Amino acid sequence: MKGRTLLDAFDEIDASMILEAEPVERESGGLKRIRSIRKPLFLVAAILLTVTALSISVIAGRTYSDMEPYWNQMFGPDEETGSRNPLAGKMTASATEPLREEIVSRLDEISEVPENVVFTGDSSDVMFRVVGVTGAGNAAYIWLEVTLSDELLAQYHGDPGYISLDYPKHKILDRNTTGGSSIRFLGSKASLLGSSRMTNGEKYATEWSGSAGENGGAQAELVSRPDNTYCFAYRFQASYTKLSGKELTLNIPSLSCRPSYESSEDWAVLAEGPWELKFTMNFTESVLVYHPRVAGERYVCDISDPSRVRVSGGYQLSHALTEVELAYSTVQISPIYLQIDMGCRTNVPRLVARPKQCTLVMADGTELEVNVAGGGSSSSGTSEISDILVKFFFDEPIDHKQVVAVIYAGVTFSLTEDTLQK
Amino acid sequence: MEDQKLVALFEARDEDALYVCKKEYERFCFRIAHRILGNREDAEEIVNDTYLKAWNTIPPQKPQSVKAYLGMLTRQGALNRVAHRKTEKRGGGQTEIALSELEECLAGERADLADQVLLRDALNRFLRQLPPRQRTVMIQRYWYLCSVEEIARLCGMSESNVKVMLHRTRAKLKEFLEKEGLSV
Repeated sequence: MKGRTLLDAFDEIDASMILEAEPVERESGGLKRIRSIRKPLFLVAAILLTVTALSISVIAGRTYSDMEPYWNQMFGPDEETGSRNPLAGKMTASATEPLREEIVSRLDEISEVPENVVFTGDSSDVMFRVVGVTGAGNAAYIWLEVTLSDELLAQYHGDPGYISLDYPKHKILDRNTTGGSSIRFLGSKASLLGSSRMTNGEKYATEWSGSAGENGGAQAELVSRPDNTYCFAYRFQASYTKLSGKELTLNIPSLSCRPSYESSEDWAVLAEGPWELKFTMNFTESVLVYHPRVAGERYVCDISDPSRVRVSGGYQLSHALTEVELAYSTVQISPIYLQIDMGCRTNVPRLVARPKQCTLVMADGTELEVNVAGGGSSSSGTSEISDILVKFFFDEPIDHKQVVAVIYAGVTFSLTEDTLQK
Repeated sequence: MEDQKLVALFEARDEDALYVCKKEYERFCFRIAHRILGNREDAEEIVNDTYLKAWNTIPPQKPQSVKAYLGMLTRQGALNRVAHRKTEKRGGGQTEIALSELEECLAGERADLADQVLLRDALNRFLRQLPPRQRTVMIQRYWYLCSVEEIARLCGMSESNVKVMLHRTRAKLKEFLEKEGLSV
């Protein structure tokens, strides 16, 4: 159809012309005048609304005293703080020495742990702690855990409840994720905001990702475990400055606990309180980078599942990949993640999908299966070669120095002293 | 967010790219789809497909303007939906009318890929040389598929003026394409 041919040709006109002609309703002069008259009225209305909101918040505060008998029944009064909200006082308490010892001993087990590990807060019902901080260069990986008693849920509240990571004098990212959780970077703060909840034994997993902004990026990986422990690795990366030596503050202004047996519509807040974790990013280089023993060494393998491939024009086809040539360029491994960069040559123009699983072989012969958490591909010089990056986040920190081999796409990549980047 | 950074997110296979697209351009894409399809549910579906297409095509595509690229994908999807389901009437007939209006500009069937590339280049050159107002009216009519009534309201013109302007511009386009050897 001729008309359709021409209509389709309009598809590819310059973007600037498309944007310039965007059909946007413009205000008439009369409407503008009306709006200018309304402006003072809007101001008055805004002031009235603010006053009303403040009044409501004061009234709402009485809810705490209404709940006092319930809290006392659950926890007993807080003798130290006299708080009507007993858990809140404990949440803001500094780290206790036994807890510090426990965590340090645990960290000793996983890897060379820098002295930047800081944690706080403990109670018989809720434990929230930074289990590990690792990083290299300008990236930090903060491994956090929340352990709850069987009957409790943890919930981060929406505005103004958020987790923030203060990063003094730096800098502007702002984002929200879908699904009721968000990571927000505003000014010097990076905020992880969520409304996730979990019940004892419930298998629950989601992933939060942060976007890279002008000066950095953030990413959080969240998993839960059957023991009602809520974990996430929070990755923070600054693009133009190193985090080393900086003091960061992790804030959770409104972690709340609720009984899990109540319906979500009628949750009573048993306790809520702010958390503040300060730590200095004086980490050591804990990411190990390995190169192939022979540069450009190729491995031939099959990718059995039909994989999606991209051909010219952006179309995708399913294609069984046989005799795929893989050439690793680097394997990076830290206590938190594994990243593989490789080139891939196939008999099809462009590989889109990648194998989703990887096996780590530990020094003691045990094997650990991990699933891909992210990755991407980009084309290189010729259409038949794709540069592929796959990234795996572990469920819990590992001793990355104990990993002796990585098996991916049926190819074993040995992590030995002679392939380690010095 | 700047386009380059958004494209970088796509290239890094960071799903935040989709979130940013949804947050910043959903309304823009929805309007395009809704204008063509005249149906809210279909339009929402097309917009969702648009994000997926963007995910699957960036890379290798590296659009200078993500907004325009998403708009183009939305428009393509909506037009294909119209063609596939033959639901022109549901779209208020704008697509069908626009198609029939453009019929007159091309005398022959141009199915050849090379010709399509030439046609695209010629169309770009033609639109660039138009006075801004004329260009806006043409793009609103044949890219955004706005109705004449809507264009008149948006541009502060009478409907008859818009019709006359479109008619004259199409005649110029036909002449231009003939000179380019594209209207055999």
